[in-house]
Order: sequence, then structure tokens, then C-alpha cells
Amino acid sequence: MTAPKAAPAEAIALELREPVPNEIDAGARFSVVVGVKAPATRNLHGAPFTIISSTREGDVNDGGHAVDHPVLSGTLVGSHLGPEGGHDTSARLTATAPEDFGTFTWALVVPAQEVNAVRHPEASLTFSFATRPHATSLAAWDHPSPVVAGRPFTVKVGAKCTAGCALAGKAVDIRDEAGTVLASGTLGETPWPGTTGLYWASVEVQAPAALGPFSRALAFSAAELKLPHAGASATFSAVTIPPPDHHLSITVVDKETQAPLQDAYLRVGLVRIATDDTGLARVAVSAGELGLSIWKAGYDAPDTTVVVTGDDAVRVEMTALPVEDPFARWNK
Amino acid sequence: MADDARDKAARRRDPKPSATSRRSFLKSGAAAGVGGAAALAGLAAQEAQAQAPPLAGQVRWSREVDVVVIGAGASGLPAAIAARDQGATVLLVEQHFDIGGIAIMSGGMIHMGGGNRIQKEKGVQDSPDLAFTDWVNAENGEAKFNDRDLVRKWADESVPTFEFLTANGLDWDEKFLGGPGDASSVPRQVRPKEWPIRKDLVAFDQGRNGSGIVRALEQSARKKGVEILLSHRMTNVVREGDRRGRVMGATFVQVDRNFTPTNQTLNVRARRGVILCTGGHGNNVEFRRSFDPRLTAEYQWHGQTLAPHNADGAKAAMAIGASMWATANQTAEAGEAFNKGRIATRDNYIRGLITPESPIFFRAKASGMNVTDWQNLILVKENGKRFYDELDSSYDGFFAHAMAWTGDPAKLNGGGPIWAIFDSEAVKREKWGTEAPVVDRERGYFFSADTLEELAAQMKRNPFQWREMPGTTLRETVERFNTFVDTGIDLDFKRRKPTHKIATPPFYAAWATPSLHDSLSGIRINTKCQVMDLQADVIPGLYAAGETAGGFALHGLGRAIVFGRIAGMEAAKDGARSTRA
Repeated sequence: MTAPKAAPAEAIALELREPVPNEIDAGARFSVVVGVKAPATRNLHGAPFTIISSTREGDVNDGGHAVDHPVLSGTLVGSHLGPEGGHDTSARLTATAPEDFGTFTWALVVPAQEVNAVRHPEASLTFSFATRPHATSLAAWDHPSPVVAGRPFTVKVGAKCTAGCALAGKAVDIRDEAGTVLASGTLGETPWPGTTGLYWASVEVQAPAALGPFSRALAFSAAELKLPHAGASATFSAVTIPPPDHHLSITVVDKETQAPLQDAYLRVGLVRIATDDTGLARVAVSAGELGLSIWKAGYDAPDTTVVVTGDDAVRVEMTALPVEDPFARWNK
Repeated sequence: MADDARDKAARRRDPKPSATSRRSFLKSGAAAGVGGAAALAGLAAQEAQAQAPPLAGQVRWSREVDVVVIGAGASGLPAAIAARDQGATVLLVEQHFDIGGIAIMSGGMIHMGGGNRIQKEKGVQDSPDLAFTDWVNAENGEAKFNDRDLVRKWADESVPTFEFLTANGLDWDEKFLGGPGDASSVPRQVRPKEWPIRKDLVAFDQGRNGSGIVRALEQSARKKGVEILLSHRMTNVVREGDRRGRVMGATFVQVDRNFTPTNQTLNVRARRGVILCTGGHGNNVEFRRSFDPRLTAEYQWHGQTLAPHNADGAKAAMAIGASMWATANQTAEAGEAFNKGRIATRDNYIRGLITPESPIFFRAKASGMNVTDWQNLILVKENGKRFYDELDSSYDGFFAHAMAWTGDPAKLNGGGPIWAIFDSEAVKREKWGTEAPVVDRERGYFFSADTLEELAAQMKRNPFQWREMPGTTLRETVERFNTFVDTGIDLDFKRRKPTHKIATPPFYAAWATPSLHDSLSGIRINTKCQVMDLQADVIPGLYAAGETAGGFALHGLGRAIVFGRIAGMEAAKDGARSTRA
């Protein structure tokens, strides 16, 4: 009696077709593009696979013990791995990174199998990556400058998670130079219009009593979020002025045509304002000698000063620059 | 326009040659000699490498005409017509699928003068002597390095060239006379009306009157029997006698709609002359760096998707002994070699608005944003730091600092990409569109993000952003600039009246790397436009005009047209000319 003849063996080779990022946001979805090289006769469509987390290093949850468990199972179906099978194809596998920190080595395993009397031994491929906390970043906008010293003003603050986590309900603090929390805003449910996920709040905060430039720091603490997030910081700035006691009406016109100029940007002292469609801007200022400068593209006007002793009106003429199209040299 | 429709439009502009079917004289590379396919090896789409020119005896000629003109732009079209007017048979060869060169999207201002009809009608006193005197002015940076023989010729031939253009159908804008300007002390710039047929245009913006030059000349050239062959790029000029004798002709390779060579070659023998009108060298990184090593690949030549100025003519001429000429003009920083350009697109000619309607939009990909007020943004380098006053556009100020070393030991030459950073309020003020077809997000020339850190992280997708911009640096740059807006004083770069904060999300980054414009130097020619070698000897049978030629830093069309006409006339008369200048 003869022993049954062993089925012939043909190996399957696996390789990464795109590098796996060294760092992946904890809990984030990511793709592994694996190349599958098999004998020409082998149809790999539908072949099972498993991704096994075989090693953990520095895992805070289990003290670094090795733990093997499957993280993803399925069958090899990819854009280039059609029903016809193939001997050199690729498949994109989408997995979810662990939610905790650490360096992970995962193994993609295609188990041993026998197809059409051909034995295919187990094939495997390992790859490593580290998880990182989600990055966050901040923005502050829509606050006035100057602000009246010692008075409250509002500023919009927003926070964003790079992985797109919903940050509604979390707090953004506003702190002074010493780190003292001056105000705190709770982020709303709806991202700021035009953004993909900037959660925001409008916060009222007190301006410093001292006159002059100041800055305030934003701080976002993500300690209460389910997934690990890095904190973020940013600053915004403004200047303080004394309480205004007079109004100044400034009209800006074209010197030659006397036509009103809209969107001329004025700076009266530290107050910035733009003219309306009648060429008029009304600013509240305090008494004294104030610098007056104007900017409008295509026009010029010398800087000057105004002496404010009460409510007043000022007319400013701007000279149109001599077709000083800055691109004129190249418009030939 | 759908691709199919665009293809049809391209074919309409690419009619078969009038006398001979193009197919009939296209041969395969292997059959046509000149090294066949091997000669094409390594010929990249945008950057044909210099090759040893073939010996005349190695070339199997596919065609034979009296004069071959290479390049159908502002110098090639008048050259072809002038040669044809002398009775020569003329083949005009162009690499793009249409005629026009960069001139078709220019403003059409022709700097001539000398007392032409429009000047006289407007009471401007001018003369060839005054034109000459102006353009050799020792105190003017655009004039003092010029070859005075060439300036004299330009001055003397300006009025005849004006009459030549009139006779060949230019419809002048009678209301316009530009100047004085540049080195001209009196108004000398004339221009035609914009070409009235919109489908024949390339760019759509205020006054692309250059179309009125090249379309009128194309019409006249075809009517007179000039044969125009499109979609062929010159690869070599062939000189007889071990590259020391007369120029015999030129070799070409057919290119596709993206300027990629096919395997079809064409060798044309020129009985009387070859005229190089291939444009300048702005799109050839290593050639332009021979003048200025700072000009690394991040800087774009602004006509790259219409008429790539690859230095083809200069390279081919130098390969058979030609000399360069008046190279000081290229780096004198007085002419029009650089501009800030549009932003948010790589193909950023400042006035050439390439919309989806344009037949070259498929190459340009985006129209770009025109900045009307640079107060609306800051400019940062690839490291996220400002580098100069954004309102400035001077050579020794803005451009010098744009190209300055950033401190990265991995990149010593060139200043790296420059990005315009702005916020959503700036978008409203400028009324910019932030999506295609205005901006080029797909290829990494425009980004938006909810925060500045996220914006910085995205920019590494740009092919020239060789390292990731530090998000913290970009945020700190913006925060510092915003304090300057508070106080009205830019402590770093003294920008006048900083006006607007960059604060309101979303935030934007738009490609704002400077753009190259004129080539102000090229190969040496004499007053007959004959190309000359380092011994000041004429290379018989070879002519050049336009930005291919050096010696005269006059911007653009005036120089191209005047010397194009001269080249055509002289080449047609050629045959047994002396080899001395």
C-alpha cells in the first residue's frame, strides 16, 4: 500500500504596495495596499485573510505584554483583484488603528489552503506603525481692535481636530500672559460656516485696564475626549484705547473727480474703519491729536493728523495713481 | 468645452499644409535617418536635452523648401511673410497646435516708432535718430547694454515694419499710442485691435490685442502661400561639412497636445536659410540658470502651457557654433524678466486669463487669482516665514529676497516656493473664487483649511514644497503680522499701513512664486539677423529673431516683429552670402 501522494505546493507572496504611515491617529481609519503574487494558475479572488495584532510595545493598558488577536478579517477583493483572479494583483484593506498609544506590529495572514489539488502554504506580511494623539488647533477671530481699556469685548474662538472628531461641548479657555483663565467658551454643535469641522464659541472677555497692545492666549484641553488628543494653543492680539468721547465723520473722495471712494481703509489713531459707498466713515475717538492714514489700492494720500476737540467732520482727498497698474510693464 | 469638442477645435486650427499633405512627408524615426528613434531617446516632453547635431551627410531630407522658419509667433510670422514676399517657398513650423506663440495672449503693444503714421497723426515728433538715441541711453538700464548696431537697425526699420504690418492686415487701434516709457522719450507703442473672433483667442482679459497681430499675419501668410506646419518641435539645426559649413536645414519631431514627442520625425532642407524664431529660454531651467543660478525649478515661465520657451533655438544654434550676445541684459535687472504673477495656479501670466473656454485650459488647469490689493495677504516661504514687504515688486527688494537662501542646507539655490496666506475676509474683499476653475487644488497650488496649522500640513502636496511647512511657525507668523495691523507698524519688513488681519476661518494658501517673463539675451545676430559664432563669423544660412536672439533688451513685440521681418527678407535673398558679417 502506498501513502497518498502529497499535493504540490505553490507559495503566495505578499508585499506592501504603498507604505504604511509611520504614525496614525489613534482610532483612525487607514488603508493598507497589499500586493499579492501567486502562481498564474491561482485564483485569489475571495481568498480569506486576517490581520492579526501580534505585538504591542509600550502599551499602557497591558504593560507591554504581547497579545495576539485579529483586528480585521475578510476576503481579498480589490480593484485589481477581480473574479478572474490573477498572479500579481493588489487589494486595498481598510483597518482602524487602535485607540490607545503605542507602537504596533500587525501581520496580514492568508491561511494555508488547498485549491484544485494544489497546496498553498500560509503567507504573511508584517508592518508596523505607531499611534499618536489627534492633533488639534485653534483660531480666534471677529474681535475688535482697538477695544476700550477695562471694558468687555467678544471674540470668536474655534477648535479643530485633524481627525474630524466632534468637539462640541468642549471648552476653550482665554488666558492672560500669566496663564490666568479670564474666560472660557463652550464649543457649539455646528462648525463655523465654510469650515469642515471648526467648532466654535463666542466668548466675552475683559480688556486689560492698561492702554496699548495686548495679547491673549487660547488653550484647548482635550482630556475629556474619548480618544487621545493633543492640546493646542494660539494667541490673538488687540490694542486698548481710552473711552471715546467724540465722533469724527470722515469723507474720502477722489481728488480730481471729487467722487466718493468706497472701501478706503482709514486708521485714526488706533481705530481702523472702512468708508461706505458714500465715502463716509464715522469713528468714535477720544480728544487729542490723532494720526490719520488711509489706504486704498490705486490711490495715495499723505498721512496727516487731526486734532479732535469735539464732534467733527473731515474731508480727505486721495490722488489716483497714474495708471500705476503694478502690472503695466507686463501688459504689453 | 468637452475634450472632443476641444480636439475638433484644435484640428480646425491645425489644417493640413496647403501644398503637401503633412502625412506624406512624415516618416517614422527609423526610416528618416538622423539617428531615428535613437535620436529621440531622452527627449523629454518639456525639456529636450542638448544633443550632438547630426552631420549633414547623415540626414535624409524629407522636404526641401527655400526657407524654414521655426516658431509661428511674433517674429516667425513676419519672417515667413517677408521671405515669401521675396518669392521664396516657405515652411513655417510651430510646436503648439496653433500659431501665435506667447504673442497671442499679449497686450499687443508694439514698441516701434521712428515717426510712424499714428505718431504723426497724434502730433508726436519722432525719428529713427531719436529712437536710436533713446535706446542706447547710457543711463538707462534697458538701453546701455544693447548692441548699438542692432538698435540702429531697429530704429531705421521701425517705420517700414509699421507699413509692412499695415499691408499685411493689422487693424490698428487708432486711438492708442502708448508711452513714453521704458527707454523711449516719446510715445512709440502702437497696437492693433483685439482679434474679433473669440474662438480664435487663447486668453480672455482686458485687451489681449496681441491676437490682432498674429491672427492677421496668419491670415496673410496663408493667403500668400506660406505653408504652416503645427505640432512639430525642432530638434536640431544641420550644418554641412563637419558642422563648419552652411546650414542645410533642420530636423523636427512631431509632438502631441501636451508637447510630448511622438515617434514621427521630419527633416527639412532649406535651400536659402533656416530662421530661428523659437522664443526665449525662460522655460529651460538649466539654460536660464546659466545667467542666474537662483532660477531653480520652482519659478515658472508664464507661457509654459501655451508656448514653452525651451531655448530650443539657442541650444541648436550653440550646438553648431553660435555665440550668445549681450548677456548683461539678462541680469541687468532693468528689463521685464520677472513678475509676481497671478496666484493659485502654476501657469500664472499676469494678464493672460486662461478660462475653461481657452483651447489651452486643459494644460493650464486653472485661471488663477488676480491680486488687486496685496494688503489682503501675506507672503511666506516654504518655512512659513514672511520674507519681505508684500507691497514691493522691485528687483533688489522683493525678488532678491524671494530668491534668497532660506537657511535649508538641503536647498542652497533658489528661494523655494512662496505662498500667499489669507483668510475668508480677504476672499470677500477680492471677490475671489476658491474652487476650480479659478484655483488649482488638484495639483497642489491652492489649499484651504480650518486652521493655520492644518493649512501648513497640506502644502507638502505641492511638488516644489520639499519639506513640510511647520504649522506652528505659520501660525506664529500670522499672529505676529496681526499685531502689526493692530498698531499700524510692520516691525519686520516696514510694509506700509498693514490693513487687514488674517484671522477669520477658513484660511487659504495660494501658490505665489514669482514668474519669469522676458528673455533679454540670446544668440548673437548681426543687423541682417544672421547668427554669428564666437569668432564673429556668420554661420551661413542661419538666422534668428525675437527672444531667441540677443543684443537688444527691448521688451517683446517691437524687437520680435522688426527683426523677424528683416530675417525673412535676408534669408530669402541668401544663397551665396559672404561668411563675414
